[in-house]
Amino acid sequence: MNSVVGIIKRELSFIMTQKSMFFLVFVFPIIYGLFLGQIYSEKIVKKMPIAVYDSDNTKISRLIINYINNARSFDIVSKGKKLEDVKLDLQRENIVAFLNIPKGFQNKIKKIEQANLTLLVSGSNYMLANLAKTEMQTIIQTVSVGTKLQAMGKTLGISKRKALSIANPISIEMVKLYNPWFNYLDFLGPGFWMAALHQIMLLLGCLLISREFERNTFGSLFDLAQRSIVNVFAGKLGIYSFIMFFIFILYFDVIFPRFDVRITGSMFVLCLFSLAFIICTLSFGLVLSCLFKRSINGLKGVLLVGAPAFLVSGYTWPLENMPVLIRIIAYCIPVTPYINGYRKLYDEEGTFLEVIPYGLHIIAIMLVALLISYLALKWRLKNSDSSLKMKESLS
Amino acid sequence: MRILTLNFYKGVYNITKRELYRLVTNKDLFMICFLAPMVYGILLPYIYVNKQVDHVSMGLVDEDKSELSSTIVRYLDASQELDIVSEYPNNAQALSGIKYDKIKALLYIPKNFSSSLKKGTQSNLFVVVNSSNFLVANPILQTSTGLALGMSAKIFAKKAMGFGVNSKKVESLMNPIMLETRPVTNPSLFYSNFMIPALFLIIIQQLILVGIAFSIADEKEHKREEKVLTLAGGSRLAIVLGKTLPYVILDFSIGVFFVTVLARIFEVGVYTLTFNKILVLLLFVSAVSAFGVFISSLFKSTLMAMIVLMFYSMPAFLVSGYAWPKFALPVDIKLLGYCFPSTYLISDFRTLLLSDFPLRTYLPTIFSLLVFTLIAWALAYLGVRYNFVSKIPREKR
Repeated sequence: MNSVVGIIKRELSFIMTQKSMFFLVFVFPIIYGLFLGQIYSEKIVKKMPIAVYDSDNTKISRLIINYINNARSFDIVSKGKKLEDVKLDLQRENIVAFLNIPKGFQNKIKKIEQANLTLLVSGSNYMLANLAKTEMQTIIQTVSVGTKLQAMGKTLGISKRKALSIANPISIEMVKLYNPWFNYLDFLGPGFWMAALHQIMLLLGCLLISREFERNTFGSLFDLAQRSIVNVFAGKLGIYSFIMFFIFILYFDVIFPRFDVRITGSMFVLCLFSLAFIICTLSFGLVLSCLFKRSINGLKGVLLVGAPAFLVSGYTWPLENMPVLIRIIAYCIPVTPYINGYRKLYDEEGTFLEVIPYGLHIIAIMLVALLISYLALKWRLKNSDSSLKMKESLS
Repeated sequence: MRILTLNFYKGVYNITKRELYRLVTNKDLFMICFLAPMVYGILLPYIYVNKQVDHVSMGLVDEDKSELSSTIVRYLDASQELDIVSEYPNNAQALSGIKYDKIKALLYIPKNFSSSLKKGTQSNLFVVVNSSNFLVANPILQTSTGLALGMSAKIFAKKAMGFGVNSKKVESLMNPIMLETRPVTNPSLFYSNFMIPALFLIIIQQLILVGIAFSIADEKEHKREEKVLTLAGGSRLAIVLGKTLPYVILDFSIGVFFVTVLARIFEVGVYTLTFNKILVLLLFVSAVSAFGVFISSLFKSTLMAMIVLMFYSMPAFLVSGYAWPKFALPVDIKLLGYCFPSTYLISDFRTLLLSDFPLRTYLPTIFSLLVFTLIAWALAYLGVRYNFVSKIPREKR
């Protein structure tokens, strides 16, 4: 126990005296978190620039334009220009969509003939295209229902009430759980925060042992640990786990509220779950640290794992839609089970029972990582002992 | 002027030749510049090989148990977007399925659903969806809405014809206003077409920056500044050009490979190599290379270079206005975005790959990228001037 405490003190002293280390461990996670949250501070996409060309200029066409004007999603930036005049703006994505209301639009509706509207969207931005399409459909549907009821009254000679039940016999009620307003900050912000912390922890884990060998200080460290690899791991992982746990608490208590992201599940379970993730990720980095002699090689491993980690985690693009090979890689990275369980806890009112599978997955990765680290370091020490003995016997 | 002398070009040639040799013989640089682009270029787009989210798992609670409810279920199950994977006896159990991730949504058909319709009153269907992930929630919402509208239309048509309305009139009564949505690019609105172009560009950018920063930091670490300066004939501009040229050539080739071969494999947009693509790629890799030389002047060691640049790609992507639109970014973030080369090109690169519009579409981007490139070159020169300082007195050189 004394040796573990000694290692902790030694490591703490190193962090406090090395400016770059102090910055990486304490300052950078907070700055990064604030920066990433700031990007989505608008939360919902509002005021998408669109162009409208109304060659009909009638009561109904003006009604549609009025609805669009009042919708929070749209900002009409151009009203009188034809498609040829705004084509370049559409191609350049200066506008998200172009709505054309043709001449004779209202006339057709009055004659109870189908009137067509064309909405051109810039499909290359998936998010904006879908949003523009959905929002415009809602607006047109609203106007359409009104005209439909009137037309039905004229054609079928029935009351508005009766018309309503015939017009829309099947109504679908959508109940959106957890993020009903499609708030992008609630959706992506916490994910990016954890991806960033994951990368920081991988980096820290990767430097734990290789740094000691590079500086020729492993000997003194090992002596302090009473020549026990377990003590080395306990001391090193212990201090960084504690510090990162503190950073996570800062995130939950300061950064989340700063950006109005609520934690709907149990805070206690979230903290426990996060602690398991912290130790697991540091252990994962530790594997690279023990396997590679030079920190730079370990860092390449961190880059290899850390860079695609968020993309393969299933946080946005679901795991079920990924090819099997990618899924296998994803399941080996700590952030995958964590980020999905963590979303359950912060966004889906998750409970301890719901995150058990993710917790067990994290623990499994951690145990495998610790075992590989132990064996790698043991082998490395055995090799360096043998080469030392050979050097002594030769001299 | 030194740039007009033969010595200058000899210096550029020497540095370029040396850098090319290092790229091939230095294990770290070889990995960063040759292997990593191939691995990332294939692995990351492969995530989106299915192009769009489909077969989302849905649960069913059918209290109606009628022919109509079975039809609804068959319709939904037959769609590509949804799969009815489980039937639950009640809503509580189905909601539990959502909580435990067995299903992403629930379709609830209440009792008397079909009998209410027969009586001529409006009937409700309920769809409960886990909307914590928009990519999963959207297909559920769109397909369910489409189902309700489609079934409503059929029932309405039958009733209207019962009133003696002819079939042509029924169509107009059903949908008096028809909105036709036409995507100008990415007509099928595949998510893969949205993400993959960005991945290509970010990979190229990241690996140029890491490669150049590593190379220059390595020179400083091994105190080879004097040697490099001598090889360059004392010209720092020759060092800038000589150091960047190999990366421009290499990463331009990689870019061409991405936009032709990989774009074809992953079926992203237009695979042909056009003048627009060549021009834009050349300008981009040039800008990033110069930016990389400037950035590398900030690092004393290869380790620091790798550590800092590790955290570059995510912010660079997020502030670019690619996923979260520029008009919705806070002003300070927007301004910060202009410090990253990818911001200038990334959105247009997407339309370039998907549609390859005429050159005039990209002129503003090309111009702003050109300005950035010139600034980056100037900064790169200043960075090299600061780092590659000769210890030999001027008169003895």
